[in-house]
Amino acid sequence: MDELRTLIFRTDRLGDFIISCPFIISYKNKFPDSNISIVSSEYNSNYIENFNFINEVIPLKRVINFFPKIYFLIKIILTLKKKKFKNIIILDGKKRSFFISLFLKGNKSILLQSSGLVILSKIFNYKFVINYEIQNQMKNFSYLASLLNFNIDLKNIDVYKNYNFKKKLDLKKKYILIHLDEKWYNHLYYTDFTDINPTPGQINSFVKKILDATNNVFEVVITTGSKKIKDLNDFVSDFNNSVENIYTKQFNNICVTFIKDTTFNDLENLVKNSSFLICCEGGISHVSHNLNIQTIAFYEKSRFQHTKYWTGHMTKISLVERKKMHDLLNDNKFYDLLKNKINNS
Amino acid sequence: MNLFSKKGIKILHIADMHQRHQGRLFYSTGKKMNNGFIKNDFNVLQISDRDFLQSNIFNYKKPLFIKYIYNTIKNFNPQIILLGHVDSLNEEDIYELKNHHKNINFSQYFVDTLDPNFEKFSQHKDRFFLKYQICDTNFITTDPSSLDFIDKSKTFFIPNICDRSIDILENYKYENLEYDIFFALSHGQHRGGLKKGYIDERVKFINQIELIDIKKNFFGIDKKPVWGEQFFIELSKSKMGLNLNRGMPIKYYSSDRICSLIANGLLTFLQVGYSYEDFFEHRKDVIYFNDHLELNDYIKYYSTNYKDRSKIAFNGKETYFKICENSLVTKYMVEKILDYKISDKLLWMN
Repeated sequence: MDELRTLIFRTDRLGDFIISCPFIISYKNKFPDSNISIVSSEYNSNYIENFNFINEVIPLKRVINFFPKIYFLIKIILTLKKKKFKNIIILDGKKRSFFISLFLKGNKSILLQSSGLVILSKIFNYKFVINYEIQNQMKNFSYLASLLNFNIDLKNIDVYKNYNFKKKLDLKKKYILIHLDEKWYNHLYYTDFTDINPTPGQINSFVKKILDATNNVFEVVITTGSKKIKDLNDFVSDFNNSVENIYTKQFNNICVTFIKDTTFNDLENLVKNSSFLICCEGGISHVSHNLNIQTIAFYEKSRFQHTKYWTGHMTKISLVERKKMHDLLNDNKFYDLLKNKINNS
Repeated sequence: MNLFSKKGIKILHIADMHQRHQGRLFYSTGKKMNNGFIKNDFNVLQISDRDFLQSNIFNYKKPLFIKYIYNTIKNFNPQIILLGHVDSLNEEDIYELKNHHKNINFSQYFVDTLDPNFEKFSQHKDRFFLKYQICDTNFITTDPSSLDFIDKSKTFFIPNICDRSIDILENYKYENLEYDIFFALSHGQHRGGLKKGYIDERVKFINQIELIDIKKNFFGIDKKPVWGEQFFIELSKSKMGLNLNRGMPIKYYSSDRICSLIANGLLTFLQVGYSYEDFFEHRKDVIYFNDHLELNDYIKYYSTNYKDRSKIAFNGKETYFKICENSLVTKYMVEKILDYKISDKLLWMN
């Protein structure tokens, strides 16, 4: 089996792995006998294990101090050198991954983050593609696939086929999911972004406006990210808390559920069963794309090209410019868009 | 979007226009494509890269050429930049060009074979890939579904195009012509002549055909390759033509020879295996052959049966113009590039 083994480096964030999935699945479809090992970030490793097209996950420890860092690099090189790889594909484009791969045998290719490693890639005979931001990065993935003699057929890829969904949060009724994570608050995210910064009262009004716009047909579920947000705690202060981490309240006789401390897998399951997602553009909107769920995602105007680079291939996503919560509450176009999208979905 | 509103779409067409060949290749694909754009009322401006860059010792003209493109874009403000076989620009040049002109649609066409079994495949693939990553759309003369390495969502088939102002012969009208069968090969249209000591697989095939009592007009084998008006003069002397490709059959690929023969009213023999049957019917539009023995029989039969030959050759020309005329193909290309609905959908369009 060694001769069919493929090593992929993707040592960055969840969204980076999720956007790479069509590439990896297409590779596996083209070379069905290949055994795929992935070198991932420590943070992603447990999550990646849920995908059955990955045979082995090798977490790369994040070490800051110099000597321990060198020690772990040598250790992982020695571990990987014991295996024979037919293809080594560096999707994260990181210097560290490139460095490790230099010591390994196999046909090597790299999706470069910039032109910085071009000369070294040429010297060491790597097939390389620069992950240009001027177009959506799926096109760059597609070009790398072309160099490796396969094709990414986005229409026929189901990233979540045979995925291990944990169903502890299955809700019965149809609902709109609002993912209210730290990205809505720029002091917890990018400080130069427009601060949506919803207060507890504004979240209340936002939920009511969404229920009105959709004729009270859907329930609303609100989830949050890993960071603690005081305003959200204040928002749920008058909610019922009969089950741990789950808070409920009636708005216009419709149940609104707030779920705290979800894992990413819980979130995926909630997205999968939702009728619509409202979120800030990021990993969660990549999930909704892969699950074919209509989505409105907020993006920062000054980073439109960067947003298109991530989302250009996503057909179910509607991008809405970030604005302050006060302005969002008064933006009739937003609620019209929501109404139209829900009616057409 | 109707055709009227597409009038005046500005296209900057960067491709070899063969000016340095002094008219020898006046029937090139680039020329036919330009004519097609004009027939559709598109506003096409051309830059001939290889003419600009000729005698380019140490590549010293390249910065001038790039500046020339940038200035032309600034003055012309095209909606589309269509690249032919512009091998003079590398991936970085194309990226920079796109990065400075993000609102322009970049597209390329590539009319050489991309058959993985072809001896120069990797050379062809590298040339195609120079522009592939950045181009929003790509047009090739092979069916993309038969190529593993192609992104089908941005790569589309186009046939070899014919042009009413160029492909004007009607050989089917004449019972008695000087020659029975025409075939022409060269080792590259830019080279013009033949490579010394290189034996083409097509020559080996042709040598297997028994051509007793058949008057043949073979160029690149018996005689030197012919070009320019002389090519059409020689073509006009023949009743039938042979379309022979190198390499293994691959869906829909052919050199532009197929157009020169069928679109000029010669009864044309096509190899089985390329799925041309999807467009041209056997014994109605063209004749398909499996091997040299079958071809031999067909040549003998049709060289003396004017009525059958003429009817098939006439139909072939009619069908070719119905589905491969430059006005149709270029309109389709522009609609694909601008992501418009295809207005006149033909069999080969997707």
